Amino acid sequence: MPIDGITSAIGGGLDWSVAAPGSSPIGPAIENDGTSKIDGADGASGGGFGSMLSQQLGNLKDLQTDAAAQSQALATGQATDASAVVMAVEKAQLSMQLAATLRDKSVESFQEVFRTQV
Amino acid sequence: MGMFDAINASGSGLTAERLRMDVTAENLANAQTTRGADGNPYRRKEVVLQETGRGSFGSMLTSAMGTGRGAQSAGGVQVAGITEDDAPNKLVYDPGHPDANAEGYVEMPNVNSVTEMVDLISASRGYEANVTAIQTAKNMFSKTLDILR
Repeated sequence: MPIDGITSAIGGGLDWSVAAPGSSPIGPAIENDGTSKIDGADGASGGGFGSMLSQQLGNLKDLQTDAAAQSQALATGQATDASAVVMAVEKAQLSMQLAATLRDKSVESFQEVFRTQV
Repeated sequence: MGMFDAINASGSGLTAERLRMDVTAENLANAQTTRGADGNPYRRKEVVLQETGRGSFGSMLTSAMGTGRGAQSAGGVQVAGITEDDAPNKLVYDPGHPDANAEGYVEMPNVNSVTEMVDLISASRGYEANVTAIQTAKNMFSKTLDILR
């Protein structure tokens, strides 16, 4: 599989150690319906790209929720440490950039497949 | 190692430097306070910092076993406590002062404004260093993402 190299590279280089997303009042819910299909396509390597992707999305959602909550606390005067708020927003922004870049790359790969001459 | 270890470590540094600045400001504000909380002159306060997780049972166990993420991840800094400087108070001759003793001497706090100003500069520069580290970590992350573009 051509994705295996990327999967192993990302899985080894980064630590997706955040638990699965919980329910939260802020932010849209993330659907993980397609993961089993991706796993099936991935074959022998159990867990694989799909679960990693859903875990990463859960991580992203947690960071966004945290950033929103802390920004709200700062705006309402409840936050005592402004630097912690800035850190949370920065982490959320960087994670979102990572997710957006990965999505762009995936879409690009799809379009490459669609351009196949038949 | 996590994605944001550097940012987390520098973030704890920011919090620590801010507290150092707060305590230094308190020392400067009370440089002439002859009546502290216990009725005695104000005592100069100092912040004691320590490495995050140092001394806890879990960290000792994992480092002794050579496993765990203790050796691989960047930690951070945390405040161990705020202690009082036990240097002797200054005696100033001022017989008209309400807190002067029988010989006319007043006990003033053991705060030296010059030392406090140097501490302020140190805290401010330390804060800047942490901010620079965060910006560098952020730039490295963005550059890594640029590989995919």
